[in-house]
Amino acid sequence: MSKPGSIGWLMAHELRLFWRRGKMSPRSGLIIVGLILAAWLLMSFFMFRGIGPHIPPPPFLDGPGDGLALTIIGVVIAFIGSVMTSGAILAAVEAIYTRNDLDLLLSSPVSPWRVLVVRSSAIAVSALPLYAGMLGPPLLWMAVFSSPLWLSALVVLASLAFAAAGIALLIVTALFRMIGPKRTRVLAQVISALAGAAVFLAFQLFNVNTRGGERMNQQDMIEMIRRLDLDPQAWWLFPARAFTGDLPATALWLAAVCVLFPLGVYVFSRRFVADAAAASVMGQRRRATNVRVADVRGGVMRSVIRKELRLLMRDPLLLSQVGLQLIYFIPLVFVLMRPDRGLQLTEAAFAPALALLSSALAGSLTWITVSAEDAPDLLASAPIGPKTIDRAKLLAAIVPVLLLMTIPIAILFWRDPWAGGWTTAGVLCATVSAALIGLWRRNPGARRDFVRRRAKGSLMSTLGQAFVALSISGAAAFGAYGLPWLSVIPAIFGAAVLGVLYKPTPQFANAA
Amino acid sequence: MTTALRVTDLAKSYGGKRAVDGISFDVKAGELYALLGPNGAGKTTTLRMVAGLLGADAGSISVFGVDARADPLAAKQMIAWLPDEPLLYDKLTAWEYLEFVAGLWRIPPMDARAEAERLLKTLGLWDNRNDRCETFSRGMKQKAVLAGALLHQPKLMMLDEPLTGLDAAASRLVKDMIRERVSKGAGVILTTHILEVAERMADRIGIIKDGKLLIEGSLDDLRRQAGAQGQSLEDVFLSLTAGPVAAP
Repeated sequence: MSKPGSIGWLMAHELRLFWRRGKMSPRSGLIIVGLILAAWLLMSFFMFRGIGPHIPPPPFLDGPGDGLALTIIGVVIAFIGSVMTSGAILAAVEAIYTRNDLDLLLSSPVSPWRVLVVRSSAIAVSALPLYAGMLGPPLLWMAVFSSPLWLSALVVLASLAFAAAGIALLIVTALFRMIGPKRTRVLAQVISALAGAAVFLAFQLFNVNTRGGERMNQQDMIEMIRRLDLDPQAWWLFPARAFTGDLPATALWLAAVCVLFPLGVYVFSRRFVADAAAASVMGQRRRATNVRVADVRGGVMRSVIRKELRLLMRDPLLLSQVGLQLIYFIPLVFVLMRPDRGLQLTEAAFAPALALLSSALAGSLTWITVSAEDAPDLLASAPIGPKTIDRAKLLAAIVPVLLLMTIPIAILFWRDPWAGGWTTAGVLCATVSAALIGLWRRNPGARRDFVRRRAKGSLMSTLGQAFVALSISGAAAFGAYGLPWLSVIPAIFGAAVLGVLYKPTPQFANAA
Repeated sequence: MTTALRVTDLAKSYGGKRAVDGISFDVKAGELYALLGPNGAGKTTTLRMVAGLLGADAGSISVFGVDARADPLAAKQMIAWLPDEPLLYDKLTAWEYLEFVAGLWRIPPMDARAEAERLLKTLGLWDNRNDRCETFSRGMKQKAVLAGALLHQPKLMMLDEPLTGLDAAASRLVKDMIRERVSKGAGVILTTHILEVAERMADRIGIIKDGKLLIEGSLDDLRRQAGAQGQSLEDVFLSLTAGPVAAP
């Protein structure tokens, strides 16, 4: 048991909070995680018992072949690091804007520096379980069946989380300094999303820019690698060399992390109290008194729709979070724009893509309008039937999506009316079905939950929405490619799932 | 005197635990009724059932003769509910919030505008009408919610801890507004842990514990029934709620 107020004690506090974040009881969670890990350990044992002895032992330092292997490992590290940085940016922003228990901790006689070191370490450590769980067992068996040097990969993986946390803390502090508390929150979301998708986006850009859309066959690939003449000793490959057990590179990597993380914590914590104070008074600036008295406009539907749209438009953080889904579709657009797939992958390909996108957007907006109601008691105590309110909220969720889709659909109609027609049908069905599932399977929560976890509903509604959206986009794709009779099959599947998910709208209390 | 609210044998259980156990009481029009009880006694559950926010397991609720369980919308048209925690839309201004409430209660726009202006001026929020609610203090939020509750000129008001978070001046103002509504014939039922408020304001007081109504009446009635002549409401309340409740 650590001494109260010590770093170990604070770490235990953080760990307990992290562990209790989920809905599951800690014991059940531990059992489930343990079972999954054991199963993965066993499965990877059988996999690597066979292939492990054939994996060449590191370090890979001889010639372009090893250079290529290290480059691939470097890309994997960059991918994991970018995703870790993405999560760490959000966690750092969260620490500033929603201080939770930090007020209590910082008002205690515990050193603020110690509190913030622990909180920053928690940001780093929270990124680890997923990757440690996924890569840990294979690396362990590779160490057993190939070379013990693979164990250094685990060291690099763990320290990568701390490097990512350090970078994230520096980014957030810099943003705060440059653009202030109001914009930092929104921009940090965007940067986080871009960081998360950075490697994938870079690959797609590389594809489009270097190959001009031409198909790359095996010969082209070998030729490209030969021409690259990758030097395994190149300085920029040192993280990959560290990963594969090159001890000087590992030492260099750890030294870099040992500078980066404390630097991030130092810079972040130096300004933390002031930044958090600035964030807490954000929005409290008194506006110049407006002498105008707006007209009161009546009507239940109009009132509810106007309220929902106002709340959406005035919450740039929430809006940016919803809009981020557009960023994740950029790689898909790159893929779709490659005209080398033999099929008509131009206009028609947008039918399923836009159907999927509109489903995702409508699902998010429905969760916000229906489930994340700020004053449910007010609505429940009003003399209006719940169906009227639900209809208004659905309209408020659906209309912005359909308006957004109007432009691409109009362009599609202009270029290819057949594809435009199927896209319209797909978008309409996907939007309405996602909204209905969100309504039927409402999962009340606070708006900030959407920003924090990008969560928008129960597991069942999320899976249901995904399945129905895929079915509808499949149907739209078949139709747009000139195979309308085939679209019946996914359409029936989608309708069946929609039927399964149907649940009558709960009536407000007093209905006898 | 017209009966504003009649609750008969109202019951509600949560997972086998009786939160409200066959409560019956009346509130007359033009009367202020204070519902008191220790934490977890069932006060808020009772009020939430009357407001239509919670379904009752048994019993009946009548609001000015309207069966609230059979026709909740007609009952809600006459009711105002002020929760203990002022839940507002942070991104709406005070004026927009009242505009929204007016839409929900279908108040004609001209009437809503005049009443909203009057209420905001009375409550000292007129200069803040175009400020977003996220910039408001706890007391200002409480006032904005109160303005929303009074906007449709309710005939029955249910106030759950209406004075929480208010400073002395605001507290006095809210008490005056409540008394004004009572003098105009509205029935008011409030819960509070500040027993002096109930002692000074209430026409009748009901004390509940473990979901049962222990006693009700004027302060003198309560003293008489509790055998605590000349004692304060606090003494009466503590003497009644200190021990375990007898089985029916």
